[in-house]
Amino acid sequence: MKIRKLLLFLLCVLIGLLITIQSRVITGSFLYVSPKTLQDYKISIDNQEKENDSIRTSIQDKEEQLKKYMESPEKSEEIVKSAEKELAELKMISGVTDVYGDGIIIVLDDGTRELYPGEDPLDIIVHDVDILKIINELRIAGAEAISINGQRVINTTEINCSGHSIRINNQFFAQPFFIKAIGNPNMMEAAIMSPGGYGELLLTYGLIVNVDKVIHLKINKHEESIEFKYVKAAAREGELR
Amino acid sequence: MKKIASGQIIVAIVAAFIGLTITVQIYSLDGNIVEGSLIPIQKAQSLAAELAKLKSEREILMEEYTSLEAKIKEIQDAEAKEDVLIRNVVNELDKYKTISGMRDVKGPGVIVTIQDPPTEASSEYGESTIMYNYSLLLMLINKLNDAGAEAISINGQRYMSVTEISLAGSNVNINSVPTAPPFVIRAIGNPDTLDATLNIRFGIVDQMRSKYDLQVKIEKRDEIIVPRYNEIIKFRYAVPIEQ
Repeated sequence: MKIRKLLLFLLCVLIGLLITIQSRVITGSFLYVSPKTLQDYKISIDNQEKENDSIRTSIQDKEEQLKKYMESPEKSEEIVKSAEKELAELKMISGVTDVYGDGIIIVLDDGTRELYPGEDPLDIIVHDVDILKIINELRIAGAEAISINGQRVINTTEINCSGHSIRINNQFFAQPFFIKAIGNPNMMEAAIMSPGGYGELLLTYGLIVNVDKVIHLKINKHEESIEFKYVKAAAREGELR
Repeated sequence: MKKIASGQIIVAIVAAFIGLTITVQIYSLDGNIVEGSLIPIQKAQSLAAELAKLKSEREILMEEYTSLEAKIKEIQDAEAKEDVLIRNVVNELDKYKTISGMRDVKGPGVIVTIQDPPTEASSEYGESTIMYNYSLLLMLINKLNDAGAEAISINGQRYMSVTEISLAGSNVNINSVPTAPPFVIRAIGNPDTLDATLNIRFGIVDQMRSKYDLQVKIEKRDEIIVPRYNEIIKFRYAVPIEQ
């Protein structure tokens, strides 16, 4: 009987211990976190670190530039040289430079299947919003330059469904649409065609969507000159922030 | 075996209970590989803190970068006064900084504010309507561009040739920066044209109001400021073709 009582006592102690641990877990010093959240944190931290590094290199570039300005005997020559380099970069960003690189070509066309009884024909026609969404998906996937039927997509580009045609950069186009994008071909293709991607959705509607990966794709510059009427430079750079 | 001692029953119950407790305990230790885990709050907090630290570091770095840019600009401008060659390049630089969105700009235009439906319950998606239908923002920006907008920003993010809008968890990312409603879109251009294009019957704003119950407010202004893009664009795939 003595042994049994001792055993019971030990068991009670063990239970007490376990309950304590368990309740500690529940009452707040621990937190339920899904591995996805953890993963997300790690990815964001990684990305942020990379971005900070890239800013650091840019700072070094600028510092070197500044040093050259201060020290170089050919000061004005140095300024012209560095300003031209900066100008080339800005033109790239503005989209007024022809560029080449690896990328994809998307062909987008109206569906050719028979309509279901009572179905709206608009369901199998390419709309401006379809193109907008595809371009947005491409940008999410890191596209660096995009054109639609040869028209470079820049920050002021409009895509407007007008009757049977679509207007892009003030030029009219009809189907099929050729969307070219330079960037990581695999990532961009996946962004459009993977299950749940917008291209795949259009396919299920019966539209024609075709994606090809291309090496050495050329994308034309924005042809028209860009003249602003309303915009003026505000404050000096670096002053506002 | 005729009589079961009450002690035995107690031991049985206790044993079962211990088994249960141990199982739960093991699950909570081992589960991180399979289906999430209980991790100390400190660890989660430290991850969040690290991210916040990196972000504030980014702000400081970016400040340093813009101040360097300003210094360089100062020297360029000073030299441009004397040298025609420099003046030409500097003027071109200014022009393309404005076009590309790498500079704060001001001018007449409109401010569009988009807010979720007034009551939470009316949201059919159980979350923010405008965030779920963020493609409405794409369409609105497209219409502004159609009406001749020259510079656009959404919640302080300049709309660039590489600007994306994406739904990421409980945020909408614009230029990779998380934002949330209300969305304030500033567009510089002819205020009347911009306003009329948006307000056209059965147009985008009409649709946002009637179909999605969104609260959309459009204000015409004589002067608005659209901020510059606050990141550095590095091309990794695209290579310029020299003419």
